[in-house]
Amino acid sequence: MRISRIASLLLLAAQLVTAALPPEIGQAVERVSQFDGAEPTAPLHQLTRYLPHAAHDPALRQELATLLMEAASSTNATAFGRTILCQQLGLVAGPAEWAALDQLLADPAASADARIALALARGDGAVGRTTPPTLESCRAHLSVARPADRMAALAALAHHHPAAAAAEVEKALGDPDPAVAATAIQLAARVATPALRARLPTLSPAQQIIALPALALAGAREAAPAITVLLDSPDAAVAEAALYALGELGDVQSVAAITRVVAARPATADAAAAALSVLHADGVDAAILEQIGQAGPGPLVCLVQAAEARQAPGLTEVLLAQSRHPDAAVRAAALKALGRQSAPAVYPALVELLVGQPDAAVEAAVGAAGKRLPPDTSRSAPLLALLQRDRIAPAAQVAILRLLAAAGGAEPLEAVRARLSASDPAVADGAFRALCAWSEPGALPLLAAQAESATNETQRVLALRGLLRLANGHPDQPAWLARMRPLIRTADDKRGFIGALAESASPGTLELAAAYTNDPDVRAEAQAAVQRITEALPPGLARRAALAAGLPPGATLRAYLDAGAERANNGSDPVRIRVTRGTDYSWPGGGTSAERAAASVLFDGKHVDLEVTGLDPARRYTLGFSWWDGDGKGRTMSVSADDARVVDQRVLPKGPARAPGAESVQQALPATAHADGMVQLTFLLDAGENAVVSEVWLIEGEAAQPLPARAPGAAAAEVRANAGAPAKVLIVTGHDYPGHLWRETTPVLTAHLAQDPRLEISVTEQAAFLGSPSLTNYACIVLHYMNWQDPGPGAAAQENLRKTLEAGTGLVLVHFACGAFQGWPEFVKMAGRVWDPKLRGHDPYGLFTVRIVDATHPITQGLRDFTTTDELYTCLAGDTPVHLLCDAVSKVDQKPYPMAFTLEYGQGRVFLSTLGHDVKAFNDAAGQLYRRATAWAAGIPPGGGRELGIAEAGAP
Amino acid sequence: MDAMNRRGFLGRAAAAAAAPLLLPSWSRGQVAPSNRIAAAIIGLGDRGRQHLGALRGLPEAQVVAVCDVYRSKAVAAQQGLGNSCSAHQDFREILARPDVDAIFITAPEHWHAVLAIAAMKAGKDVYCEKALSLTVAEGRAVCDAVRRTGRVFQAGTQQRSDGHFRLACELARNGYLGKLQRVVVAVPAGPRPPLLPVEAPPADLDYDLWLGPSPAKPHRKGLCTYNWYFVSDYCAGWIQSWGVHHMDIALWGAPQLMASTLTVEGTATFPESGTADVAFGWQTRMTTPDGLSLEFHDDRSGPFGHGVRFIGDRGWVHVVRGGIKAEPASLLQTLLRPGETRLPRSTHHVDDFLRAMRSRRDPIAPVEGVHAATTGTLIADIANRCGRKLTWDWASERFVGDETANRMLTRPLRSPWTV
Repeated sequence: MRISRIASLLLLAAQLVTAALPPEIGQAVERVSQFDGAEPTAPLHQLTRYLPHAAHDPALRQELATLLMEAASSTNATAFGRTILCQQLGLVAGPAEWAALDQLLADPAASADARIALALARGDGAVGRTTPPTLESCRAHLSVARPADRMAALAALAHHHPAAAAAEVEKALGDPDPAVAATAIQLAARVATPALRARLPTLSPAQQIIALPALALAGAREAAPAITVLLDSPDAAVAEAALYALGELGDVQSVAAITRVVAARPATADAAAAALSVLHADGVDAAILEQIGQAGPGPLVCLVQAAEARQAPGLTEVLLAQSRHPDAAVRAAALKALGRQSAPAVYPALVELLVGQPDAAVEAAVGAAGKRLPPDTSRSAPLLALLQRDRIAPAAQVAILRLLAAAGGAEPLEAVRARLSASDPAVADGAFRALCAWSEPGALPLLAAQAESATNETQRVLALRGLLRLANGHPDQPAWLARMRPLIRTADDKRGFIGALAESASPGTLELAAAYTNDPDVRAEAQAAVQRITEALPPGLARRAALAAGLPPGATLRAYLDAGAERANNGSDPVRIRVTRGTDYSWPGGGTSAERAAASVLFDGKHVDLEVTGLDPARRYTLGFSWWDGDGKGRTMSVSADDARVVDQRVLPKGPARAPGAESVQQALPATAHADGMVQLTFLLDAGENAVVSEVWLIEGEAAQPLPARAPGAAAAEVRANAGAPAKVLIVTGHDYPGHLWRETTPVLTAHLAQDPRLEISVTEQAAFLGSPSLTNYACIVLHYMNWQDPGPGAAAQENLRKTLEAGTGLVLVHFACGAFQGWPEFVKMAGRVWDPKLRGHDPYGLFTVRIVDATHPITQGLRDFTTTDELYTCLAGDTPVHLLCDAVSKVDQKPYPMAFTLEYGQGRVFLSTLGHDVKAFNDAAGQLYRRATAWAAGIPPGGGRELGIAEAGAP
Repeated sequence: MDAMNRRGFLGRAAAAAAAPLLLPSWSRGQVAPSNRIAAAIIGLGDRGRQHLGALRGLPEAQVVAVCDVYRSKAVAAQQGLGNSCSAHQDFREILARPDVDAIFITAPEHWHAVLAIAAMKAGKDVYCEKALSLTVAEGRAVCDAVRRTGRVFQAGTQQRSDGHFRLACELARNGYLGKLQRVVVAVPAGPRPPLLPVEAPPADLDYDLWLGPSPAKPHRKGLCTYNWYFVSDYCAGWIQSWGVHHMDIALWGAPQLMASTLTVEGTATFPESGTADVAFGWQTRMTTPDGLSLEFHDDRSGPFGHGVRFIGDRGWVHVVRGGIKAEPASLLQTLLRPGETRLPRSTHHVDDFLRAMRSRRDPIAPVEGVHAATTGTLIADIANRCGRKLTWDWASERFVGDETANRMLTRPLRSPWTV
């Protein structure tokens, strides 16, 4: 048995090894005993981390206990240290330590700590399970005066002695205290079901409302007959509660009973549908389908909804039959269900419905059912077949064309093309619109041709929008965008076009976007697009394009070299630059493309040389370059062209290595220098170590020195200072909670604001624009945007918005913009109050009066209370100080809630209103409020538009 | 106001508000002031003030008292509420008032069990913030107290009132994911505060009352506001305080995890210095005897990031606050069929509590649920700290055969506090 002897020896050895307490633990205990609350806390962490591991080993556990006991009893221990030691001791102490701990208990200074250790070690005063109260003590408390005590006794009885509780709980159903009686009802549903069932008819309505769900929760099916009786309760709330309970507890008989109740009480329809949907018993599905064959329109809607929710067998046939029902509500319910539920085989029959009633409900059903089909021709084939049939009404043809647009495919596209020239103008228009709404890029060539030949403005705009949508993400997007360029005419076109350009980074899109940077309609948008594209391009390409975009009219970039990264410039440039002397190098740094281009340099101990060829002797050129003293060597340099000094000695700007601060220089070349079509450029070191150059470019024509970047907020300040010029206002929209139809409300809001001729309104649907430095070009940002279930434009953009606001640009927040950027703590300081999803959201949509609280503020001066149909928001939270302008009283709780207020954030003015749920809510009064507020936030006096009712209100 | 009459609340309007567990919200009439539920809030940090805001939006309730160990916080909150509300520094003054119906406990974890049990013994219904308790043993004591006193108890695991979480749990429970194989939970570990220097407590703070049942240790700068989350005398860290939210959902959707025993095994990283002494990164696996695993991570080391993911052999669903995704995605369109498990519906956690008070039913987040969820986080923390595989027995609420781990399930309470 040699092997087992070795094994036991090894085991013994292992025990010996583990049983040795490491010396550093001894030291840690020593240091913890001296702990005074200051650093270092490392020994404390070391001890608490070690102990739970080690204590599993009996020998180590004992050693630890002895060590800790000794340290805790030491008179040298600090109070702080002893508390910690005793907490740890409690985890390991055994009977061996009890006596010492008892002794410590007698020491007043240490007794609290000793108690901690003893409680853990011996279980003294242990927290946890308690002994259940006896039946007798529960019963004794049932007759006491205090209702809370009676409730407690009932609860304890039912919990701990359920078998004995029934009689007492039943008795308590008649307790004079309503809360005790309610407790008894809840308990009786579990422990005294027959008694509660028998008492159900005699309970008060309020008690019945408590009893019904309690019985449902207890699964008391035997109570179903008693509950069915309550369906006819004169109290509507009881009847509704009975419906829900019957849904849980009823059987096949309940179907007819519920149907009867709905017919008599249409208001119970929702509860009835819910009950029928969950009824769980044999034969219920069949009973519902049978009722569908007999019921009147009211119950029929519930029955159809329930049949759908239950996915009852035979559902489809019944739904198809009901989809021809003369009652619109029944028909709508059936069609909705068909769209969501029908089997693929039913799709052709569903399509066939378009022949008789080509309305929105049928079309939506066909569309929804089609979406669930496999992505082949099975979706479009029945539609095409129908389209080719004779005598299909124009309205049906138009609906089919729209459905084909969603389905896509070559054959459907051909069918649409054929109908573009249909003799019926409605069909031709339908075909055109279907083409514009086409879901696949295959329509691009046809759509482009249509856009180019469009004869009316509506068609041109529709086609353009379709093109932009389809080109977005297409592999040949730049080519398509270039083809679209001649179609871009109005400011709206330009904004859409530039938005699409910004999505796609290429030299081509950059050139297209750069072409708009001098267009007054869209200058800011184009600049933002240029920036976005350049950041996504390789540094050389990006810088090249950015330089080209910044040139004045008449000047053209002819060559660009990213020195250090390239030895010669792009072969397609008409002018060529080639490195003849210099070594490539790159300083650390980079981030933006400009920074990366600056980081790479050519260097040489004496001079860097370049050869420029392909120059036209008849034209004038400007030499551009950038350089910087990236490693702080104190460089002084000069530049010559063919031995003629063009730039005198200059000290290069220093820059920390991580933040390149290259200086750009542009200087006209002497006409004589390139008489032979070429120039030798020399970047000469005059002082310091190593000549460097970062970039070199050649411009044909005159170009001034590049402008320094503008300080944030400068533009807004200029706008305010220059009261004569229009104030630029940017509406940011493009995403919101799905219930907020921003595509519809934005034009209405825009129109309201535009009534003030001093406001120049732009709209962007790209929240990413909030990250653009061009944001400072606006005097006011109107946020009609909420990043619902969307990450939003990102932290950098949010910070940019914050900085822009702080620097003086105004901010107007529209309706659910108060809910944007959830989780960004700074937003509540900027917006004043923000949506708290935990609060009640709003009153039901409806009519209410907005009260002017402060009629002295410039925004509300002269305005009068007005009524509006909107959502009265009750969900704002925050404690940033705000200046309340308007409020409204909630119909739900009769409390006033803020409807509009202002605040200041840094230099920026902020206005927030919760008005504006939908188009209707942007009535003239709300529009006026927003118009005046936007002017105020932009720093100009409100009142530049058509003003409502101010004259009257202003009269004495 | 006559307290007893005011409590005789079952008038018509109030009854309509007593919408039962299974019902969608009903339209409510006006609630007369005399029928309003009188609420008090104990603890006026961020969460207490949020509840204050929520209650102001609910006409059925009125805040009649506010309390904080920082007197200034109580006074500031009271000033926004007017004469009908009183400010207190010692919660015992509120528990002694017969006119208070409900107590909102928004104090740190180390106070929860003591406060909740004292309030229920005083005849108050309780809304208690999560986690339920600092230790498993205290949580058990709260459960017993709820059932023994018949009080209504709502836990602050408000994700149960969010339809996304309910949907995920209903999909898991009704077999739409196939046979459940893994439940993966990941939550933030929180920031790591540095050493907080010892200093005298501010003049308006009753520090001894703040400490309450925890050991008497000197006051540290910033300890009593926020940083207590990361000191184990007051809270087991975000593994517990954040963890309990998603753990609650995991157990709501997969109650079979609590059927018998779990093996618990994990690792964690702890600070080497500073005041904080709780886990700042952990990976723990809990497994049932038939192989279903509950994986619990901080959200940097979890395989799927933040949230709860139920994974079955036919698909998965992943839910976070404000979002839900599934594979196959069509799962999210599921309509439950008759006879399948439907979880209770609530869309407003505080409102659900008030409705439960009216009808004396259990609210959507009953005490046993939050106790199990709190326990789930604490046994993970204990296993991580012990560094060995433990076996947890749900029935006895003890580890099998590990004395050290079992001692970590409780803590002695400083005199005079008891549960």
